Amino acid sequence: MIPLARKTLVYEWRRFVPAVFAVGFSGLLLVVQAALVLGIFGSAAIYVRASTADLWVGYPGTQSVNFGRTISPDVDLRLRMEPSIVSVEPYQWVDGDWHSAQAGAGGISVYLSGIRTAPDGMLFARLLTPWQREALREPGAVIVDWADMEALGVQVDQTAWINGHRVRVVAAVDGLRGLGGVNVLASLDTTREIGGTDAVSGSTYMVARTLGPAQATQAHLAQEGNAGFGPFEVWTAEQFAHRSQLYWMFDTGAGVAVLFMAIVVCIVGTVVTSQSLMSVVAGTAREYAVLNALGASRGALARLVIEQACWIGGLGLLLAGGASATLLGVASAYGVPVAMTPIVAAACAVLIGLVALLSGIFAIRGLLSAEPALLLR
Amino acid sequence: MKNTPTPVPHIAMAPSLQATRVYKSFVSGLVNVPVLHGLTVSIYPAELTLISGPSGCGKSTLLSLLSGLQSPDAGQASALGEDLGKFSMRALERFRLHHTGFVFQGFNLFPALTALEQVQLPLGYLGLSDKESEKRAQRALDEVDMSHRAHMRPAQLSGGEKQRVAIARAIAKQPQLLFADEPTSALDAESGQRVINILHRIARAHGTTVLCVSHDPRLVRHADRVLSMEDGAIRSDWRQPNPAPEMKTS
Repeated sequence: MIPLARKTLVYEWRRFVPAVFAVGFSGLLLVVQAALVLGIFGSAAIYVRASTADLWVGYPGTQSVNFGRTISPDVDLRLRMEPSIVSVEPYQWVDGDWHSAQAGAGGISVYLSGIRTAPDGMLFARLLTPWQREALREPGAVIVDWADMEALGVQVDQTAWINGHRVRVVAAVDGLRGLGGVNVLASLDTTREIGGTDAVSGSTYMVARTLGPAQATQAHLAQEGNAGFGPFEVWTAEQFAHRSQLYWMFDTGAGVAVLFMAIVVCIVGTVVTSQSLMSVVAGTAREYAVLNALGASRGALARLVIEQACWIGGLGLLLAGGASATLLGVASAYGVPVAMTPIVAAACAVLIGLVALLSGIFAIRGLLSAEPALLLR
Repeated sequence: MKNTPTPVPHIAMAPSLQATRVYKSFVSGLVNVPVLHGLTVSIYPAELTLISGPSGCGKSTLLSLLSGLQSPDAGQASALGEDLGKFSMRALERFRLHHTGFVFQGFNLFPALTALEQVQLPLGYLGLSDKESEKRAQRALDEVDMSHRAHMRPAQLSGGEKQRVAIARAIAKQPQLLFADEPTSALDAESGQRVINILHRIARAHGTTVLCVSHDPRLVRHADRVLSMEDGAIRSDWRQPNPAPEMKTS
């Protein structure tokens, strides 16, 4: 069988370029949108993902890391009683108001995270080098993200104020940007001083490392009577990260907006692609009509159009893949929160394939003008 | 040319195409325009039958009914003994695939395909293997004297050469019925002559029924039979008494 669809595509490639670009750009929009969503909402769980703790313990019903409420210091005791838990450390969360030393600068909302400064500290262990953690021991020492420094109006080694307390930026790191506010790291002592709390009143979370699987310890903690230790709930790190992300994606309505945008992108992509494919089909209508006169069935002609749509989809996919990889590379180099997982990438590819296939199905209408009787003069 | 008012009966063979009291009309705006009024005609195999007549006389409509591209409003159109009106669309496509070839005024070749591939293409729908279809396509191109241009695309061919490729495409399936609509109208005298000779030779050599619609006066001398149409009816039916030998072309 002569591969008519492929040969036409190669020989008359200029006529197919608009359709390939339509599919490619639809794909690019989908991928970039998904990457931004994953990146932005992924940063809601930066506290969990940047830490090496297996269990997170917080106030019951906490929807997202940034909504933590103080739990009793007795929880620390309860966790230490658990044989499968090897280490426990507190996490103090304080909502602060940052003022830079620059004259006339306004206040900026910051999330101040108070962490242990010992070298084996679990919190933000994936982000901080040992010297950075040690540098936090100095009273008033804080660490911020490079990308936030301009907004905070501060440089490394410069001072600023949080809730009226003087702080000094001792280091800057990559990957600390969060959602809703600027993340600032400090020692537990610095944070408690700024937050006006002390160890006796408890901390926002307790994190723990377990010997065996975290789920087993979590289940054991849930089964045992915890009365007398104050209210608390235990999540595995994975559960708590998910919980935080899902809250931002769905409970805030942002997820629905993103889904709506994805549908719009698919519809627009399908309409534009099918229009350009249909004009190609209509341009070849007389040749198709001769084939039909010679006995090629309407179904066979429709299959030719679908085959062309599939080739366009494949080429569009390559275009989208290349352009997305470049764009996301540039975005992450500039600190824009983007992320991609194989499942989401595969879902985008499937959607691009669907856009091409639907365009092909709609473009079959172009064959209506391929009526052999119209060839007779 | 001498016209005889009554058709000469063809004794040797049964007709391969027959229209029996066919009516066909078209709607133009709000007006119903009748094209064929109860026309009856029989076309025979192994000869080149020409339908001539002025524009709008209904000759192309008659060809479309006899080839199964359209169905009559009333009456019967049959081909190879089959009533085309009884076929479903799919069955008609199958009938055309196995038994009919078409040559149109516009050559309608795919720009992306070489001459050989153009001819091979319809053979694929017959289920022939690539090797077999290539062999048959080569033979068909040989028959129209185009094998030396087998690997050229339409953009590299002249009008006459394109029409010869279109004829090869139509005859490669070895159809019993070959329909040609104004096959020489877009061609110069020499190319037109070649096309006529080829069509004539196909009818004689393969016993094919060649039904040709044209108002090209050059064709009349080379047809075995000429049906003159006017206002949707056949006015004269003339048969070549002594078939002329094919004209030589340079």
